[in-house]
Amino acid sequence: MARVATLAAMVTVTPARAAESPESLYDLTVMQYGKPTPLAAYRGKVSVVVNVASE
Amino acid sequence: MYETYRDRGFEIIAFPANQFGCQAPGTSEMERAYAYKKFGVDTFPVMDKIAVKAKPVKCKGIDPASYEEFKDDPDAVLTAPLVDDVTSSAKQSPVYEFLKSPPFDGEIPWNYTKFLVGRDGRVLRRYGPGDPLEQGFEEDLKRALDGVALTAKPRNPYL
Repeated sequence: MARVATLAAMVTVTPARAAESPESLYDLTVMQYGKPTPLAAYRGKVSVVVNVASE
Repeated sequence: MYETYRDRGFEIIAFPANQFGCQAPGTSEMERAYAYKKFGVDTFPVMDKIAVKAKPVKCKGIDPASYEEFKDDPDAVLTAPLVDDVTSSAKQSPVYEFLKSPPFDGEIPWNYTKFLVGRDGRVLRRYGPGDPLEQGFEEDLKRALDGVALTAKPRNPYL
């Protein structure tokens, strides 16, 4: 019975943890022009992510 | 340089962040226009403003509601109404939570911190805000584009 409970806990916990720590930048979705924009569009590319400012 | 390597699969993904000296007070649209002007190309994605720091920062920014009225005003930051910038005090973007995973952790110190990401979406190298070409960036990029492992140690400890 204890084994069943442990298995159930793993099944419920695993997807949540995967969502918290994605393995690829291209699994994430950001906002562009006020709309959700999946970074999956850049999968397969080598990219540089940079934080920018204007002053 | 962007145009030299773009055909081989290089992309720049920029995020305006108003968390360093409150230096990105414009709306996302204004910051995008500035980035395109600064880099001299407008073919890379500039996403909407986000928080890149784990701790919220208090900065003022141009009220997005007044964007239409002030979008063509080069002095908009002086003349447009400023409000508390909710992107500065927002929760850190999941993108930066991801990028700052060990061994690339450590708070973003300033604008123009860069992360080189491979074709599989994993971080390969982090660079400080200075000139990336002085930090071995071009060789790293060539290797990444060729699918070759980067040299083991950064030439320059990132800041």
